[in-house]
Amino acid sequence: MKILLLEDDFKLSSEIKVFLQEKHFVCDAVYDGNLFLRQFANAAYDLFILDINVPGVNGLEVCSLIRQSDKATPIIMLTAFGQIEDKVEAFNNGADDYLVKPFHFDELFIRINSLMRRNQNPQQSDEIITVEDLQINVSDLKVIRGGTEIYLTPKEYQLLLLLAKAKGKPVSKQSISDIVWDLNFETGTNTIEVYINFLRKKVDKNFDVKLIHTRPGFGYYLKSEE
Amino acid sequence: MISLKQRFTINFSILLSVILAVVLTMIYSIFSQYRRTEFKLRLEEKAFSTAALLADLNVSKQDALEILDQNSVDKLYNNRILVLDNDLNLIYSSISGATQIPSAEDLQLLKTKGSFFFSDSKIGRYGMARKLPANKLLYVFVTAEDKSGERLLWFLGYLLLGAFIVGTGSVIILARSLSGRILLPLKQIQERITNISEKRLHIRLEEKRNNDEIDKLARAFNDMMDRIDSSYKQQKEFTDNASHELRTPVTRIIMQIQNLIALESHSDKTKQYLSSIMMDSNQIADTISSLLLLSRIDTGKISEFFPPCRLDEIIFDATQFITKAYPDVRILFNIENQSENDIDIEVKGDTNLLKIVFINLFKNAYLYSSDKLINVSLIQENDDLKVVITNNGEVISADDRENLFNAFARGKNSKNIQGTGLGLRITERILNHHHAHIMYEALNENSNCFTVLFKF
Repeated sequence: MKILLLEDDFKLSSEIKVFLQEKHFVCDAVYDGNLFLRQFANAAYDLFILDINVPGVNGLEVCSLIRQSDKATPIIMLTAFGQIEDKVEAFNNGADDYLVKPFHFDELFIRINSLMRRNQNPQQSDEIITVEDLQINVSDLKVIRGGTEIYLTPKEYQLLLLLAKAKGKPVSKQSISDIVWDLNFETGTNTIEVYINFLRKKVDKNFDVKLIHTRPGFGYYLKSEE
Repeated sequence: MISLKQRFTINFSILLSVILAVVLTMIYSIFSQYRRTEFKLRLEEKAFSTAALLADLNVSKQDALEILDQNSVDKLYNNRILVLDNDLNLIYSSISGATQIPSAEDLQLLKTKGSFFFSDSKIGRYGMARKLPANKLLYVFVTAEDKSGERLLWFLGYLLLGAFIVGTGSVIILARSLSGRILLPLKQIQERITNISEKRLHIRLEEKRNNDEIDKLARAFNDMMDRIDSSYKQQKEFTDNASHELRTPVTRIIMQIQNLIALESHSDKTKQYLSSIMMDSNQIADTISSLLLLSRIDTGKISEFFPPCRLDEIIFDATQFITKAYPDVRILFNIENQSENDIDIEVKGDTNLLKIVFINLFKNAYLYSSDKLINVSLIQENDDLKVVITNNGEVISADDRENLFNAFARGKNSKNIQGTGLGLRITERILNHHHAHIMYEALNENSNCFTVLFKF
């Protein structure tokens, strides 16, 4: 497992290297963007870790340059704390994850592992759940009905997916609360109604055939007709 | 308080009115002097002509004189003529029967000065001694009322009084409009200055380049604002720069300690120390990142143009962060629509910044609670969107409430709880930046409530 690290602070770089070697990764470290790109062209790596503020070509530019030729290799950006915009920019440039300095090495280890795993067995793409003219593309989180894309918030999407996966069987409010929200999180019954309402507005409102139905006492279900 | 405008109007009006009054009074008194002189001349003329007539005729021709007197073109009102000879015998009196003996003083005056004239407000008295041949003297006394002069004087008086009233009125109106015009730039300056605030130090006054006092004031003010602005920026930049400089070594320290802890050769004591140092370093890192965030908000490095975002999703993101950091937290969430409109929980804001707001508030609610339960309600009202966060725990003392949103303020209830004292400060600054507000109240002696308010 080979990792290429771009970090201009010598001490930091060597600490990260020590840690990664400890975890049995092979780690090469470079100190400026130009050197990184040369190294990137010369050798194959399984993961890149990029600091943003480095001499030569900066980390964000390096990231987008990598993505021009290599779409698959995971990239973790290291950002200085307080620089919120960097994170947004990092994702726009094709990074897979970011860590805010100073980070916990265990956290870095977890992120590396999860990205590696994802990269080794890529999700079965093209999994599409269809209910009437509603299509939920599980791999890229897109929802399309009647040919137009519906933009859902993460919670709305999870709720729709849960109903769709139940294949027409009603899902109780309690299950919705437990699955869509996590266990530390208790929602009032009212909240679930509000979210069903949001979903109805986006999914059903502009269409003649209503898909989201309520069965009083049991919960909600997704079906073309009663 | 009398405003400068009023003061200018009053002073200017009083000054001009006094000048006007003095001028008008002078006109009146000169005219009144003139009337007196003219009246004297008329009496003198009358006396002369009477004396001349008597001297020429050299006889007392009472009738002729009376005719002359009554036909005189220059008729005097209530005219009386008395002529005496050398031995003070009455030669002629214009009023038949009545004899008025002139006083000894008058005669004495005539003897020494040759003539006299007295005049009070109504009646004028003129006397003269006319030398006749053979060393004889003729004394002529003329008295009359100056009715026409008096009327003229009255008329003039009313005229001048009217002129004074009209003049003073015009002066007041003139002074008001003049002072308004002169002080208008001052008013504009005052309005602009009122708009200057911590966030809007870029406001400058308009410089008209006409070099008058107000323009000079504006220029001096602008110079001052430049200096304030730059020193304010320097101060803010300092925090920014200092935090940046501190950041790298702290990061190095934390990274090194982590690797150090990972080594297996430590005694338990050393490990204890190392993790304590680690915790403290993390707190320094927290403080530095908070300071950086604050200075970025304060220096306006964060945009003020926000895209719409869903408040509920921000809250969910924040709760996810909190549950990761504190696995034993319980969060009770509720949405209520108390408005007459459809539910709409979108606000204009920066998702990352607002997430920090709710992470801070949830973190506090958790850390300062007795039961690790946080109650979060998202309430839509007609004009605003409220997020109400309540917990059970020691309430914030009245003293601490005043400093709640100040930097490095930590309450009495925070003794055993780690924190930077910047969380609520950051929360408040971010919300201010979003034109949103935060309020605190203690619901009872064991229940804290923070309310975040977004206006639609």
